[in-house]
Amino acid sequence: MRLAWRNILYDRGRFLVTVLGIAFAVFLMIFQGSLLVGFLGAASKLVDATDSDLWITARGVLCFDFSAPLPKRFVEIAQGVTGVEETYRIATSFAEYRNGEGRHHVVALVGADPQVGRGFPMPRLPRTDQVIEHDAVVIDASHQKTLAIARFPEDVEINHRRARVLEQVDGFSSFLGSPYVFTSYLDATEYLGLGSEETMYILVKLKQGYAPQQVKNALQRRLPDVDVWTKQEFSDRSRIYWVTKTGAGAAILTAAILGFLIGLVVVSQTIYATTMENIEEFATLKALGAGRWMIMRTVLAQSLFCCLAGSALGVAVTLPLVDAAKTTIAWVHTPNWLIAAIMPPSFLMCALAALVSIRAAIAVEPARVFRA
Amino acid sequence: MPEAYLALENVTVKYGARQAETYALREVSVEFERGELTLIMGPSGSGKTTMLSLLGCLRTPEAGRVIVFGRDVATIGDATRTKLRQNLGFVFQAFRLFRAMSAIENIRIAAGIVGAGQNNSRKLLEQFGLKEKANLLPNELSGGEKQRVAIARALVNDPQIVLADEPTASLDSDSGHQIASLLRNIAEEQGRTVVVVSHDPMWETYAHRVVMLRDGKVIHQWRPGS
Repeated sequence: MRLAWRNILYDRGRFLVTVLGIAFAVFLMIFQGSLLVGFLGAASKLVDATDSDLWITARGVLCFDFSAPLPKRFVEIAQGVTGVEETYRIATSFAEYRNGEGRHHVVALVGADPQVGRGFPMPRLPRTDQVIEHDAVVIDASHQKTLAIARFPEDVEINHRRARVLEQVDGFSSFLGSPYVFTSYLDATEYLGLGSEETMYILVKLKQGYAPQQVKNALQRRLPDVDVWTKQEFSDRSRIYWVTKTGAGAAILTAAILGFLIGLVVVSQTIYATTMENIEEFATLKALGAGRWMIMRTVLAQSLFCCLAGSALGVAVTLPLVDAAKTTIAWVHTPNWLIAAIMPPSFLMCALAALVSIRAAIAVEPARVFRA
Repeated sequence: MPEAYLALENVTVKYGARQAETYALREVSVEFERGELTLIMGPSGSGKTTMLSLLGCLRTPEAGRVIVFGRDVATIGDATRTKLRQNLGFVFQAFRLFRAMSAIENIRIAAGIVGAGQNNSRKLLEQFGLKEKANLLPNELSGGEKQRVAIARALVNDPQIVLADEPTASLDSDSGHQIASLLRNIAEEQGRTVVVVSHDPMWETYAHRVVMLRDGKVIHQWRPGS
C-alpha cells in the first residue's frame, strides 16, 4: 500500500495524466447519463406530472406527444366502471404559433382539465387550483427565447386564434423542436379544432381500495377498441418509444454506452501505462520474495487511489458543465442517484483496468532484475 | 553423503528453441561454502548471471539439480520458491531500489516482505554509515551509498546466502573497494555464503574462491593466494 502511494506521489505528472483520464471518463459517463436521464424524464414528464391512476388512449398510441382522438362518450362509459372515482381529459396536438411580430413556430399545445393535478402546468389563478380561461396559455421558461416572448403577458396567435401568454413555468421543456404551450382543456379543444364529440386522453382517478390492474382490466373489457394503461405503464411506454423507436433516443443511448466504453479504454490504458512504468519495481518485489497477493494489492491500491481522485475531479467538473449545458439543453438532468450510480462502474472500470495490469505485473520475470 | 547447502549439480540451461537454441550453462557443477565469498568470473555470455538466477530461485534448469538450503529447487513449486527467496539476500548491479521510497523505507519494505522486524532497518543503516541519509530518496544518494542501502536491504532478513550481481560495476574505484570489503566481511565475520558475479579483477583480492566460466562451462576454480 505504501509503495503504491509513494509511487503516485513520486510521479505526480503521471498521476495527473491518470487522474485526468479517469476524470474525463467520469465526465463522459455523467454527462451522457444526464442526457439519457433527462431525455427519459422529458419523454414522460407530462404523464408523470398528472395525478391519475389509469390512462385511456386511442388504440396504438405510442407516446404522449403523438396522440389520436377518442370518442367523448368513452368518458361517460369509463365513469360507469366500478372503482372509477373521477375522469379528466387531456388534449394535445401540434399547432401553429405566431408571436406579436408575426414570427411563426410550430408548438405542441397541451390542454388539461384543472383536476389533472397541481403539478401539471396550466394557467391558474395565483395560489388556487382555478384555471384561467379564456385564451390564457403558459410556456416553459426555456422556450421564452424560441417563442420570442419579450414580456408577460404577451398576446400571440395559436392556429389563428388569439392567445395570451401569461407566465412561464419551469421543468417542462420539450426535447422536440416544438415547445410545449399549456392551456385549459376547453381552450385547447378550440385551438385544435377538436370535434365536440372527441377527446384525446381520458385520465382515471380510482376510488380508494381499488387495484389499478383490476379496474384497468374492467375498463379494457368495456372499451375494447382503445388501450388502457396504468400511469406507470404509459409513462414507460412513452420513454421506451423515444429511446428505442426514434433516432434521437437511440443516439443518446448509444452515446451513453460509448461514454462508458471510451471511459473504460481511457482508464485501462492510463492504469496499464502506470503499471508498466513500474514493472521493474514489481520484478524487484518478486525477486525479494513478494507473493502474488502483495503485487496485486499494490497495483489495485494504485488504481483505486487514482480512481478516487479521478472520480472526485470528474464529478466536480461535470456538475457545473451540466448546469451550463442547460442553457441549450434544458431537459438535461443529473439526479444525485446518477452520480452515486456512476461510482460503482467507475471503480469497476479501474478494477478491470487494474486486472490487466495485475496480469502483467504478476507475469513479470523476476530474473530480469539481474539486467543492468 | 550429506546434501550440499548451496550447489549446482550437472546443471544445464538452454535459451531459445530448436535451431536458435543456445546453452547458457552445460553440465555445470559448483558447490558454495558457508563463510566464504565466491567470485564467479567470465566474459559476457559465459553464463554468470544465469548461474546467479538459478541460485536465487529465479529460474529452473532444463537438467541437473540446484540445491538451495539443502533443497532441490527444481522439484518445488512456485510458491515455495517464492518463500525460499525470502531467505536469500540480493544485491543488484543497478541497485534496484524503489525510487519513490527513502533509504529507510527501501529496507523496511523488504523487511515487510519477509516478515522481519522493522527495528533492524535503522540499525543496518547505521552499521553501513548511512544514518544521516535514512530519509533521502535514492536519487539523492551517490552510487556507493545506493549500493550500501541495497546491501543493507539484502541483509534485513538476516539471510545465510547473499547473491550479488556486478555490485561494483556502477561505482567508482573507492566505493567499489568499500563494497567489496563489506561483502567479504559479511561472509567471513558473519558466516554467510556470499556469491558475487563480476568482470572486475579487483574482486580477486576479496574472494576466498574464484570460479571461472566460459561458454557455459566451468573452466577453472582456484583460491587466490593459495
